[in-house]
Amino acid sequence: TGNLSPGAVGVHRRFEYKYSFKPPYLAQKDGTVPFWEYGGNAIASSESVRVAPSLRSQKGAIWTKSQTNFDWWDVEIVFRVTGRGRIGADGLAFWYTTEKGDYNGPVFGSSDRWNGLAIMFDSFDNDNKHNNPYISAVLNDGTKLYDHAEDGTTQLLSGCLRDFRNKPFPTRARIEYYNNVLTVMIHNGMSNNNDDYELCLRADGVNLPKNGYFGISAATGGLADDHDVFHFLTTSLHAAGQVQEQPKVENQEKLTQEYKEYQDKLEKQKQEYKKDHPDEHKDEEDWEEFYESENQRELRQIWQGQSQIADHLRELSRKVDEIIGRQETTLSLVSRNAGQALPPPAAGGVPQQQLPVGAVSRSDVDLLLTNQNMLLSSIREIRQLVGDINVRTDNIQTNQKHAPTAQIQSTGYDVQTLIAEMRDGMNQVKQGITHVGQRLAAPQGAAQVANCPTGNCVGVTLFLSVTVVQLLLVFIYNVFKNRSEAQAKKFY
Amino acid sequence: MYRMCNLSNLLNFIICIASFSQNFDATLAVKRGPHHPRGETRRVDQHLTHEEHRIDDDLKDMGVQANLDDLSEEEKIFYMFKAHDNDNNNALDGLEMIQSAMHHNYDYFKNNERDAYLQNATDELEHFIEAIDKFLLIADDNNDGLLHYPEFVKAITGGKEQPNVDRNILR
Repeated sequence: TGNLSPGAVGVHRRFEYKYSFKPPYLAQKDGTVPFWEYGGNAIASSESVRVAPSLRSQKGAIWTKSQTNFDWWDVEIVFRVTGRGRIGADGLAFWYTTEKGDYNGPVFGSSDRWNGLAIMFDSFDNDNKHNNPYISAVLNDGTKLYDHAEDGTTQLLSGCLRDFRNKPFPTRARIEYYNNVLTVMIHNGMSNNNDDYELCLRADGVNLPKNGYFGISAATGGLADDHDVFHFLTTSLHAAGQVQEQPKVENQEKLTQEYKEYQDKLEKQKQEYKKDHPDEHKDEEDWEEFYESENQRELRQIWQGQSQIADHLRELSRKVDEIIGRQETTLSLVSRNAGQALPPPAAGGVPQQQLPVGAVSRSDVDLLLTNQNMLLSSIREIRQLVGDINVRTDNIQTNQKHAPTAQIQSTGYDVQTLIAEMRDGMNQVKQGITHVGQRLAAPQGAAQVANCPTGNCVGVTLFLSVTVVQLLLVFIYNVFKNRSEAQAKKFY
Repeated sequence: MYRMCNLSNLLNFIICIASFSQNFDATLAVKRGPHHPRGETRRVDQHLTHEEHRIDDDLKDMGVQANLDDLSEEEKIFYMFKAHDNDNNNALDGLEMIQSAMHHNYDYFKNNERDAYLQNATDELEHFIEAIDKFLLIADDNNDGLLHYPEFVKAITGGKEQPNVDRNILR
């Protein structure tokens, strides 16, 4: 539970276990409560101390064995007062006194003429003013008698009207005493949220004796309630700086993280155990419903409905707070925006706006130049391509001109070869003739100079006839060769 | 003496502190000699022997079905911490530590007579209160009367063995 009192901010708190008790091991096996002693009709068990049972004229009390060794303190009490009927008696009292009181005394089971503080949870209406159950604080210096007939109103320091009887959850009280300021906060037991405390009373300038005893007492009268106290938790309060703070444990964050991991693992294991053993973990509420009468069920349903309404109201209140927060944020933003609206009309803003335009125009010009350069290069490439196309077109045209010729050549291949060979032969013949001519010219010159024998030389007719025979032989050979080649082709 | 504390858990540490303080207290020395049936040696041996058994019982009480062989040392420390955090506020206070000590020494009171039982219970309680006060003095770093998990782990695994003089004066 957090620190609810604003006055105690920055205070060092220390749990005092020697002035506390709590379940589930409140009482030892021998019935004693460590650091406490109880008497009268009080009964201590492992779960609670029944300070006064619901029988007529019962009184009981439980007190700390030792006096406190601290000046300021905060005590949290968790208790329950239950009884039949709309009116009960007599009440419960918290004590902080210089001496331990009685265990069967006249004031709610404890002594009168106490020296110190009493917080009284008075159930019965003795003065017929219809203002009970009432919670009050009464100071005494050991000289006054408690005015029971008037419910102590004449001696009252302060108080509040709170019904603490027959609540679905235990009632809680936080009694804080710090710097002579007494604060009592009450949890009315209508919800199981332990932080639903409300301020009951606050008193300044309260001088309590040092080093007192803590105690709880209760009494019943003609009407009788059960008075059970479950927790008594004492925390000592020290001014900041009075207590020397030690540095934090090493690896604090690592250990905290490790603790969370183990905690999650433990929760999983518990759930698995419940699944495996469903019978062992039956809730007590299931059993309670068996013994519920119709009227009780109707009242419980009404109470549940009202509890839900209260929850919704609380949630609506929280949402309204959020909306208010957002509204304030929006207003602050609007004010900031209004402040930001001033710079644009300033004179310096105008040239600043033009400079980016110039810069943009320059960049645009650069972009245009680069684009034009790219266009030029593209056009050049297109020209080259067009030139290539023209060249290829000319080649195609030339090929088309030669195409019919090629067809003829293909059919006249043999003829062409024959013609070529004939030309070669003719050339050879011409060469031979030229040689012969040269030789004839030379001998003619010699003949003119010297006479030749008439009977030994080759005649012109003989020479020509030999030439013709040679040509015929070459021609016949070529024809035979072509025919053999044709036959070879036919064969394949 | 303190080396043994590093081996074991909170209870063993408390008992070590108790035994340690026993050596310094003359009246306690007179009351409990080395031949006392709940003497130092027997107690330490019994705790070392039954440590696993106690943790197993605590795990069953918590409704956890876990095998001790599968647990690491850190997990055992966590379960020991969690088993005695009765109000589930993630911290151990003096009352919970008293119950932890008394719970683990219940066997000693089982076979005694009623009057002897009461006397022994009172003596044991005073003994454990003394030990717990010393332990809190050592382990409670921020002096809030509560022992949180990091403080608990540090105390169990060693680290500090001498109380702070200033804090001692303050108390």
